Amino acid sequence: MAVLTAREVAYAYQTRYQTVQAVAGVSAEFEQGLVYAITGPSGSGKTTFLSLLAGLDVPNAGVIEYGGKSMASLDRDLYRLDHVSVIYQSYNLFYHLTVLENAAYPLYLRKTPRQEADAAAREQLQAIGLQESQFRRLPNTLSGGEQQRVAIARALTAGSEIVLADEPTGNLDSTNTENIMDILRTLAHDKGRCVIIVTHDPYVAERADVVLRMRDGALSSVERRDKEQ
Amino acid sequence: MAQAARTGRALRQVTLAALWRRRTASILLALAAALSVAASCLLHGLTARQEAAIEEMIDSTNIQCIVTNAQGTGTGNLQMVHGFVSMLVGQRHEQDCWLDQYVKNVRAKSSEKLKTPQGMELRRILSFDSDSALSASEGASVRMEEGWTEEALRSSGRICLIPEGMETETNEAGRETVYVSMEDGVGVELQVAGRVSGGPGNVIWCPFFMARRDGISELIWVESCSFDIGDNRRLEECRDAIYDVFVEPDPANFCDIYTQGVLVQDEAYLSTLEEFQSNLAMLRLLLPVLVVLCGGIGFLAGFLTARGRIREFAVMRCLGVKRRRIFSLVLWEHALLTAAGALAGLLTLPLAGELSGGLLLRTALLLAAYLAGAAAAVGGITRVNVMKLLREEE
Repeated sequence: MAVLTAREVAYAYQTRYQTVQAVAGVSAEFEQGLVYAITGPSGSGKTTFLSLLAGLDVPNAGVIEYGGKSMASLDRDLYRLDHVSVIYQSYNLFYHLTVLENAAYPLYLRKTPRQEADAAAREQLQAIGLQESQFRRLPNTLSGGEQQRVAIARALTAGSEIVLADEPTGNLDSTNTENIMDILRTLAHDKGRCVIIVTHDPYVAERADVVLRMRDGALSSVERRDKEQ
Repeated sequence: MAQAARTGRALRQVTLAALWRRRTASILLALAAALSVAASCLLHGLTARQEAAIEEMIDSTNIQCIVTNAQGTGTGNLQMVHGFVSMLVGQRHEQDCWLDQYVKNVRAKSSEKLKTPQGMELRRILSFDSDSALSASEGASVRMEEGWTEEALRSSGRICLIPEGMETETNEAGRETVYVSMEDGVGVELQVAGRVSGGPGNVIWCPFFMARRDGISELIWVESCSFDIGDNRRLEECRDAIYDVFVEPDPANFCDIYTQGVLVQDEAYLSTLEEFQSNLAMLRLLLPVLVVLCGGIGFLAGFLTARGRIREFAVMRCLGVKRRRIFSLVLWEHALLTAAGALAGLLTLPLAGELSGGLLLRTALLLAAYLAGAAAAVGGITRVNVMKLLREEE
């Protein structure tokens, strides 16, 4: 069953000179346990579509449903806090918080006691291969790959069913890209999360279970792959 | 409840830790608040001091008024009837003619030659400083006998001050006296109430209104007279009252014994007061200007400090933090820093004199400006599309 559904979603925005139709009638279903890759040339509306799925913006037309309920009827802030995690190309960590504090932040927001939150974050950081000695360091003392792992650990700590990633490997070398993809695939296949990745990288698209191609704001093709690939 | 208390604690603990980690910005913000409050305190103190100086000047300055003839040409040999002095010291209330509520420190002197002791002079005075010959600056020193004070000179008693070393007699009551007789032959026994050393040796001083004969009022010719304005805060009123009795000296005036002039020597006082008041007006003008200026700086500091954290707020929005929660968290941070700065700034309070409502209000306004700046920045940032914001930041 689809955890996230987009029905004829459209989104346009006004620039100084023209109206840009960023997303034009996209319909798609996203299930738990699968990795989705949304690809397409720059300006094809991938990131805008992702932000609509994340509840960061509201479509002009169409409906996005989470668990069968229209997003319009949900508190979008609570939706992001409890059900969705977003991972970015530039990691978007808090640079004045330690690695551990960054990973535990969603739990601090949910009013979890500090010790409990830190213990959960520690577990997730270790699970994605970070060392205990790195937990007290500030993110900018880590490599790009390590920072992206912290961002993923934050998503894991939050316990969201949906993980949205916007070019998560854009700043990483091939080894780190491979590692991050392994983690994201594990997240989907072993932990049952729905992972949706916006990417330009053919390698990332290749390792996804479903590839959605966008062009000029519309979905041009959907390709399902063998999960065991 | 306990859960809620813990919440805030975890988030606030990491927020405090973050404040410390970006301590340069934190300290700068607190420092700006401290300097603003200190400047406000300082200016407040200067204003309070200036106000106190004006008050003190008004209270402590004696504006001297010198009685002259009607033309203003003579002050030392007035030939003025003593009725004017009676009015000045308030002895004519029953005649509805008095000035004692408008003047103070009345000084008057009258001299006449004595037949006995021969070669001596009798000076009627209202106070020691009525006769410069009794002043310390002239080298004189007055020693009153036990039981007598200077106040005795304002009575009509038959007492006197004599030069040190002058021979005296002892009357039947065992009191030390001197006998004096005037040129008109009237003699009177004066009790010695004090002695003057270092002054002229040929002068005996007695109370201005000393009665030579019981029950008979005699005319006294006043040689010199001066007094001070009674209340500088009512200067105009006092001047008006004085000029109801005396005239403003003018060479065109006609001189007679019933018309006397008074020179009110208030120029120095008024020019000093004007200077002080113009300084005070400047300070009072500067104070709101400073508050507006510091408030503006505070607003800008708060705004820029918060504005520099766009990415952080955008990430918080992505994590599902509500706008109002970001708002309250940032305001809490800024309130903490600016309050710490304000407290440091209030250390200059001893320079400000005392804590007043005005000072507290200005401090609160300054802090509010910092918070308003941060609020404006956060309000603006959290309203825009988060994804766009993050993209722009990249």
